[in-house]
Amino acid sequence: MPKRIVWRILVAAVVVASTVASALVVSDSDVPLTRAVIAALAAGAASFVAPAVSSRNRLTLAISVGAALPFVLVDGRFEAAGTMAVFFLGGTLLALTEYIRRGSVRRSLLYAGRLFVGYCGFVFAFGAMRNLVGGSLGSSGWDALIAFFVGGVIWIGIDLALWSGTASNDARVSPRFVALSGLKDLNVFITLIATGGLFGMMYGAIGWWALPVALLPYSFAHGAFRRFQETKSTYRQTIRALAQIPEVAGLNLSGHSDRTAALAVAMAQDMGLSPEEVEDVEFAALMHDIGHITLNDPTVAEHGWTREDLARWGAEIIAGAPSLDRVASHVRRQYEPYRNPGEESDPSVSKVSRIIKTASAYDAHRMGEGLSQLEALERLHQGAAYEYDPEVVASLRRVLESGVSVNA
Amino acid sequence: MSTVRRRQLRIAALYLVLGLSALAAVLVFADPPGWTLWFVFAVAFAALEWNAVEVNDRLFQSSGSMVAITAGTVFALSSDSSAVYAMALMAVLGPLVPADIKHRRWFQPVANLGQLILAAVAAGLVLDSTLGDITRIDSSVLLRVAMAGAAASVVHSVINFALVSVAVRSVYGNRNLLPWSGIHMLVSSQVVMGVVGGLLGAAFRVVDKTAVIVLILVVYLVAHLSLASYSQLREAHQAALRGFVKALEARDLYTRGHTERVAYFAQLIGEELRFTGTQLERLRWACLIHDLGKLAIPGELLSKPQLTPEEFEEMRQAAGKVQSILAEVDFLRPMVSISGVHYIDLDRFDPSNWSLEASIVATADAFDALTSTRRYRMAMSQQEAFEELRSDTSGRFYPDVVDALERALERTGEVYGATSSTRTTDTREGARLA
Repeated sequence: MPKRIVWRILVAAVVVASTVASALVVSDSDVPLTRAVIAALAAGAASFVAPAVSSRNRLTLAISVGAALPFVLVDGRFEAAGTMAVFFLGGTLLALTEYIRRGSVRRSLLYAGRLFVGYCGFVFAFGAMRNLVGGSLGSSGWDALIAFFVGGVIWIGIDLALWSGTASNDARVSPRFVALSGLKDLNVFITLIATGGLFGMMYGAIGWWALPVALLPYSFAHGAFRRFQETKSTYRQTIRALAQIPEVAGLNLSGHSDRTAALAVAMAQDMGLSPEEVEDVEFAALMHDIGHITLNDPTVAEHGWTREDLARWGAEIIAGAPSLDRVASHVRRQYEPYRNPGEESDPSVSKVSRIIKTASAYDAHRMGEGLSQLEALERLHQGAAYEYDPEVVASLRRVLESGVSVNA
Repeated sequence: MSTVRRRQLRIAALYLVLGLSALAAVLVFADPPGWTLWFVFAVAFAALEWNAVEVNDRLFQSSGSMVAITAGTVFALSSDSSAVYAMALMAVLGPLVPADIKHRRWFQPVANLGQLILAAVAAGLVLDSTLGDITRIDSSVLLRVAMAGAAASVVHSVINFALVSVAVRSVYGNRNLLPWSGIHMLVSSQVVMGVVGGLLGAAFRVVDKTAVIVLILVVYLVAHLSLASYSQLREAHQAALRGFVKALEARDLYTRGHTERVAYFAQLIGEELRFTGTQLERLRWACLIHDLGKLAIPGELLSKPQLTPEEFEEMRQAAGKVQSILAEVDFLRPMVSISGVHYIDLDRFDPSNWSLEASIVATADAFDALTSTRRYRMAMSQQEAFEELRSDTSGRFYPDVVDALERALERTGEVYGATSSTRTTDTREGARLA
């Protein structure tokens, strides 16, 4: 495969070039060479430790190493150029390990590049603030802390901006959604930066003892993040399993809730809903037909039912869980048409309800009636502006055209 | 005034007097800390204490004790202040939980106040006596400080738990002490907290930069908040499952409340057998899902008093499908196997695949079925139900487990089932269809 070889040569060339460039800058600065090498290696190695996060943003302990560098590279002094060069070298190593692990040149370069650009912002802001407040605050360390804080804010801002720009392009979701979901990981980002700062500010006084001192609190936080994300995924899995009960009981189309949820989430992300709303969409779509369980009851079969009844029964089941109140109300109103002829559409029906209604109808046309993608979409278009929300149908078309796999 | 209330008053008064006199002695004889620094620590301590996180059942984990140890270390290492003063004063803040004050709960906060002051004084004395002689602070003392921190933390928790168990025992009697039996599990985490707390305090003194404390506290606060949201999410998860259980029970008047009662009986048995908090929690989840298979069973089968073997097989398969989708959830998989008590084929039952936990769920389930009235039979008396469980030869109900349930019900004084014997149909079928 010649193409692959070309890529590998290219990567090797980039690695060599960046190593030489940063080595030149480091040798020109006051940073001791051994210390620079250790720091760069540490940044590369620390990228393997990644706390659990909500979004797909990749945050690793390499951020902590970067945050510690301004304090530790030169004794008692801060040197901007040398610091950035060392982190650049670390970033190169990190891109290399990412490439080896994931195999995508583009992704690893994007990731390392984003990290480095954010870091440059951090170093500049740190240096500028230090000059500004330095000396006026005495030796209690407050000047360094304030500079560090401002630098950290700048770093997080740059990272979020760059990440929402690139990631939304990759996954075809709105940048607003990516940025908001990135914000949910703010606590992790802050912890990583603060851990680095803790190590950095202590290293001068107690040497390598600073490592356990900084890492012990971090590991506490690391465990808390992991537990949170694990519970979150378990919660989702449980809801998914429960939502399948009507299907295994033969009361609903098999796989309907899963497919509806996948489609509805893609639509919600496309429409730029917030991460909370997208989560509501996912849960509500998974459980939108949970009311079908009731069809098992002989008395219900006897007396008949309407779509409204099914939606209401489903909502009643979901409302048993206080934490799912919002989801229950979305499910309750999913049967309502977008608007009745001659009336305005009812603003109290949520976007979430409308998305589920459309996604569910599409799946029913496709898998229930066996229509083709085009035919099913055409049906929804015919009902747009009366039965279905036209905005939602337009989003469905975009999602289907982008080829998101929803028949999993 | 009821007996419990009188006892509460006595214990609260005793602890309060002991605590306050210890506090007074410390305030008179010990050296006060630097107030700015103390205030920073105190704010962090109160923030963590007031938002304690429920980790397992009724045991709360709070990072507050770690901050207290850090503060104590910092002040013990300085020549003109003492750990005992700073920690005793900080302990006063702990029980002033805003939620308690809002709900006008008084016994726990007042008893806690005395008890926490006593524990803090003891921990502070440990720190002062082990670290007070250090004059030159550099990295050579770090290891010693870490060990002192661990010792102080263990002393703190041991005294704390001892005082709590004395209070619970003398107010409510022995039976309410059981959830506290797993306390030894917490000691290891207390050691870690103490080491970390001591190390951070010493490092702070060595570096001698006040600003560092902000970074330390930031990491702790974030970690604590994440732990708190984890705990909330866990509750939500369980609440969602409970909601579905209610939905199930809404379909059948006769089994209303069944799942909750099974969970309660299982908990009683588990406590009697000295299960830890984690084990009890597994048991609770298993009970919550044990009946979900019923949701997939056609309504007409459920209401039939007598089933043909084919119908029974159909029922088994429908329930099995639900079990298998629940088993796809990693977290629930072990619970599904524990709760697999339903519709087992008694002729092919293999006791070697049976576990203690499975036996507990099966026993709790059968006990509730036997002591409540169903479509096809009236409830038995509690005595008859126990006889029935003991006479079962399948091996599903371990004798230890049945005994534990009987003891637990004696302890709580509750009686289930019919008061007189009114048996109508085949009881074996009853236990099977629980």
